[in-house]
Amino acid sequence: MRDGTPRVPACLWLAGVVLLALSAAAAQPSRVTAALPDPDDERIDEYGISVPISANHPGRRFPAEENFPSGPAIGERLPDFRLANQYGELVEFHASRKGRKAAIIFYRSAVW
Amino acid sequence: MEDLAKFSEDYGIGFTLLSDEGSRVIQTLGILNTLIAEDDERFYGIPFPGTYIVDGDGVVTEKFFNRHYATRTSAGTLLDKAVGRVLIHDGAFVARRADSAVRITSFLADEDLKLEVRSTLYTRIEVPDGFHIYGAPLPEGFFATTVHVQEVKGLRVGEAQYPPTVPLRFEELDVTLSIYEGVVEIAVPVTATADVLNWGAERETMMLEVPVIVRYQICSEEVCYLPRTVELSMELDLAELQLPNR
Repeated sequence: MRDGTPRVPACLWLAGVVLLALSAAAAQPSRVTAALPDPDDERIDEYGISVPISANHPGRRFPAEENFPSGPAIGERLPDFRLANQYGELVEFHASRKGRKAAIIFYRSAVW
Repeated sequence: MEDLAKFSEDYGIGFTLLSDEGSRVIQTLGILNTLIAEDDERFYGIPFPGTYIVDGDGVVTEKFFNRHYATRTSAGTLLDKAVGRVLIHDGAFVARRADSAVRITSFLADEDLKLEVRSTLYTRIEVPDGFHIYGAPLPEGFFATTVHVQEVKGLRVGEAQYPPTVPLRFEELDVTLSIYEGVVEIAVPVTATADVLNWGAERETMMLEVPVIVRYQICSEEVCYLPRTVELSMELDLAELQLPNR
């Protein structure tokens, strides 16, 4: 987002979901395996990206294969949900679209 | 909430940011990052990053999930998919070539390339009325239209996506050929890699020069021109890396 907000046509409503507070929740079976960092330099991952923290750091782990869970399939209706926006107002996802298309982006945090 | 408000303010965000406290929505959708241990209080709860596009009824029409944590689908690519049309966005680099028969325009879906953000390099071929060009599959002796984006250091090039062809029957030759008429748009995914943009490193270069090679043969029902090869030169700007909001 270096260049700020993309110009959005009227027919599209963009929603970003950003995770903020984390808390322990129901356990999920883990079948996803992580890609391994470069053994010669553990800051460099498989994509050649170098950050001054270990590529084994939890925040840098990523699936070794493409078949990781990615939620509802094309053709399925996205389940409805209600979450607070950046102004503290509750937003009901489907109602707030008012029948328009939407893009919804899942991102880890607005802080890191 | 305060973090979202600050982020929104700092970056002049015009769209809605939502906070999924306790990762309830993330878990309902089934996109919780299961590589993070449950007792990892700091990192447990983040999603596998990705994007859904829904239609007016809320049904998913496109989705983009990439396994690497830094890989994203570009804003321009998402907008085009959501709108259902390929647009030439403001600030995008455009290269044009024309001959006596066709007009060819290559352009990037975005203003620039960002590290591991998958953009799209479109090539639009405008075929005049009464003429056509070919697409695969074809019998021998005919030339399918191809777009080849040359890989250069720092650019990962995906597979070209060709639109569906229409069949055209030639009774005298006893063949049915796959053709394109009108405006043909071919999309090639392109991503800037850590070879030219990396954390803690100066940009090696500000821009990638990328040759795009287009091959086609234009025909009408009566005449066929010789196959042609046209090269367009794209200059794709590389965006500076930006540290997250702290």
